[in-house]
Amino acid sequence: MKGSEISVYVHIPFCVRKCLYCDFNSAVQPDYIIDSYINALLTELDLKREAFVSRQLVSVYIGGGTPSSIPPSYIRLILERISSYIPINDDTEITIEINPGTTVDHKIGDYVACGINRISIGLQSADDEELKALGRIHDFETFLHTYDVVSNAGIDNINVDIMTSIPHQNKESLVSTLKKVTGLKPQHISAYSLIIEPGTPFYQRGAVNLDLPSEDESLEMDRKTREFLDAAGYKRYEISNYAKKDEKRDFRCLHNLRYWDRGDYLGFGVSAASLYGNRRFTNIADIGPYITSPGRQVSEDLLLSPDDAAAEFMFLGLRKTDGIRLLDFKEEFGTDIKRIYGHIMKKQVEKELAMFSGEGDEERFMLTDRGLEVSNIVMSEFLR
Amino acid sequence: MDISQDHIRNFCIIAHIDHGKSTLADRILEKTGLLTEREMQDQVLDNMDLERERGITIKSQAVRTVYTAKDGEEYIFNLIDTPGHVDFNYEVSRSLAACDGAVLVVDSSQGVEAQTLANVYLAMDHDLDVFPVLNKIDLPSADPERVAEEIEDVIGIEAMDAPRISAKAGIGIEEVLESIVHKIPAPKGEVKSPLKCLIFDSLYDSYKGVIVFIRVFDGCIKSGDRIRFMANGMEEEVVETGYFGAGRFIPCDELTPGMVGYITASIKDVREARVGDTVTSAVSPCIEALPGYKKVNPMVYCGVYPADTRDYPNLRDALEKLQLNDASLTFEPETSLALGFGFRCGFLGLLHLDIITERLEREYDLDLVTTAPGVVYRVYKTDGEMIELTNPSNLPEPSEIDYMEEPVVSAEIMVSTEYLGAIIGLCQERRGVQTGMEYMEETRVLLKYDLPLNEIIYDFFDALKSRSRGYASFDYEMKGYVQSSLVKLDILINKEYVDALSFIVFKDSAYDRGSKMCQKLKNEIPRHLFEIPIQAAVGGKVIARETVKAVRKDVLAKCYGGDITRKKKLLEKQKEGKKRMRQVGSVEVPKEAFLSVLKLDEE
Repeated sequence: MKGSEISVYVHIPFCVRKCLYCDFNSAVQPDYIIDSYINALLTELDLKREAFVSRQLVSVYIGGGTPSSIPPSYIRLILERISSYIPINDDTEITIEINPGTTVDHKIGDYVACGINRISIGLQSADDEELKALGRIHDFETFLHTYDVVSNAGIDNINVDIMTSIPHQNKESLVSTLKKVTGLKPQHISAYSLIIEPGTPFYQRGAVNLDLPSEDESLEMDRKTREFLDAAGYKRYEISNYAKKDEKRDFRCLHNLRYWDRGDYLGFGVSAASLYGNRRFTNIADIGPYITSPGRQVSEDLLLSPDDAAAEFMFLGLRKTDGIRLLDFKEEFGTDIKRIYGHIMKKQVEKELAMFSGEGDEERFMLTDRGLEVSNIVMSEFLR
Repeated sequence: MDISQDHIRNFCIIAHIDHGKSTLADRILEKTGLLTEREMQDQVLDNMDLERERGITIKSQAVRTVYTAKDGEEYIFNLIDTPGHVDFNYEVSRSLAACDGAVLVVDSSQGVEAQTLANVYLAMDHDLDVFPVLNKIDLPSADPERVAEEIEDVIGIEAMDAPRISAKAGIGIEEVLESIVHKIPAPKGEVKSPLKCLIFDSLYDSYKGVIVFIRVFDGCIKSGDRIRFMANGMEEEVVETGYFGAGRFIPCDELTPGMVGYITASIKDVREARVGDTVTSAVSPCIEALPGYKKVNPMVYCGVYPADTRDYPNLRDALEKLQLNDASLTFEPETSLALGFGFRCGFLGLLHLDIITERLEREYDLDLVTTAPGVVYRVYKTDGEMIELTNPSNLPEPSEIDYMEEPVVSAEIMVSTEYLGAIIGLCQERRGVQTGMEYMEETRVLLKYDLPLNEIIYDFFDALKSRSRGYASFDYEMKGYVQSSLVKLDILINKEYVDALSFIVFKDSAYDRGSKMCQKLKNEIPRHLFEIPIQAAVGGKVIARETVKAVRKDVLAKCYGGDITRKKKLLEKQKEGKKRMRQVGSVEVPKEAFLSVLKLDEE
């Protein structure tokens, strides 16, 4: 039952070094801060334990920052505390993000032992020059070693992050990265187009000085990525996400699907966001005040109106290649979706940016490949 | 109180902009006790918010105050404040006609400027006695002796003993007051003659109807009198007579010769009591009206459309309300293929246009799309008919046009010799014909040019200021119409003709204006999913083209749990931008684009 399910996000804001394009809340910190922070995180879990009552835990995602930069004992403490409030079972997807530059040789055993069953590795590129341009701390060789360690430890659900539109990148170097990555046969690949976010060193340097691929080149790279991964057996299920899927197993990321399906989730730690019963709230970003009163201060707290919720339903759902099920809209909002968005949907279909498929209760509305390429334009139509 | 004409002084203050006219007016009111300092709001006579913000007077104002002079006698001062912009030159001339003298304020650091001259000549044309006052003597750069000499040389009025004052600091105000008593003549009306009053302004009041501002020249007027408005022959009965307190109307029994005051007569429309008209008695009318009346016609027209088409009725209501108080605003419904239903509005000039549109947006909370302003062209058709063209879209087919005429102004520009070359260059670019050049002093020149009005309505003043680093001043008046070689420049967006973007242009400038217009629009129109050609055409022939490239990619690569609110805001911003657009065929055009033609000379 969707309504009784819940997911958990845990934010570890520590890094060995900050990447040049990163706009996540993360920083390099001394050890004693890490210890106080984990304690605060545990306190926040205690504080919000009521929220887990009568719920089933679908997924836990430990992200950052670089969660692999801190001792695995902390990760164990966190997962133990979660399981004391809500049962973790075999189906629960538990992901940790790791950076190939942080040695995991001695950590992987602990990860497996405490229940982690999915690992996401931030590779970005198989080209060492491109990695340098991004300010990453690893090279491709180090990544290969990390990948072996993870896969030899028995993890059978591995994601590799790669990036397109990196400074100096071209189609050939992208294809080379794709070849090298798919050769390893991970179960999941996230392929992001680099976004220059305000506040990052990249942003300050300015697009002109970065030697970024042009809009046309960038689009070509996106298309090449799609085509290549499709041929290699990875099915695209969201704008930037690809997974292996067959009768036996579906390797789409359960946790991220929760975000796009608007399932409830609770975020713990600084800047962690939550959606709980149509309330969206986000913890404060400052680590000091967070440690002093964990989970009690928010930077944002919104009760979503039906309008807000419907807009979210559309722009989040349409990120997925299978789009939205019309019946889901009716069940959540009590109105036929076509009564509200019918004319906009029709317009998008006419422009070949979207389409309908299926019939009756299974009728769905989704963006076409072209629609996904310009999805901001399509999605903004569904906002007020 | 019984007032003898000997003890009335009707005067105005004239000055170049920023030379301190309004400040001096305030000081006079303060010193004569009409206002205590505490009651003083800065610049009492500028009533509208807009007037205060812009520091200019838009409507004429009048106020009566009593001054006890050094001779122990009490004098009635009627101070009539005049609008301070060329757009309102006719109003200025009528206000001057209501006075017997004028105080000329000259900034003692800046000296004589173009408007100083224009105003002095205007005052002299109305036989006013003008005496100068040197203001801002407290400024370090003040040089009253030099400026006094300049006034004598350039204008030819006595200035050596002119009061040296600082209106701001309150220095020398007494001296100004005494000069008003001694240098401005008392009115000389005949109480026995038939009634003859000049209307110098009017105001709509929702209780009293139109309040007509008058100066009585001959005869007396009181409530119950039957009066006649000589220009249109309309007759009414006077309901109330009175004079002007500070921001108040004070009723009185009657107005006698030489007095300045107001009448009400259940008039519903300011256009019935036109500025400049003569009011006389319906029973024993005067034979001849006061000279100088003319019906002012709008000089500049533009289309005004509601950004949201549903606001059309609100826009009409708002225009009707503004017109109640502004006889020179005209409007009539028009339809544009691109903009839907709106109005073609006529204004006295660009400032007037600016003020009206700003008031519509501010006071009536309307979001407007305005098209490029244009002047009134005369189109002589081959069949002998002449049409006054206010909307470029209505230009007849070229084959039906015999020839066209455009309005020309005579302009006077005062500039220091340093920038003379730059300003002459500017005037030449704007198709000016030099009609005179006089050296005022060694370093200052008065340039006289005939300039087509359509070359100066947009940005001439700004260009003048920037090319002279602010050291040029400018004044103009309508001269008439001259034949000219004009064409209509059309704009096509995505191959569709956009009526609201057409404008009339001098033939030889068409190519240049057309290419600039295309470049401007290219930057204004956001990229779409398809390529958009933007073309400029004259008579169906494309003369310039630009292309707005298509959007290839517009996507947020990442959107996870922590980003949702932020990503939603980004999408909302994108949507918000679209709301400000007008649909032209399949292209969304931002409302600012319709004013692109105004900005063609910006770099």
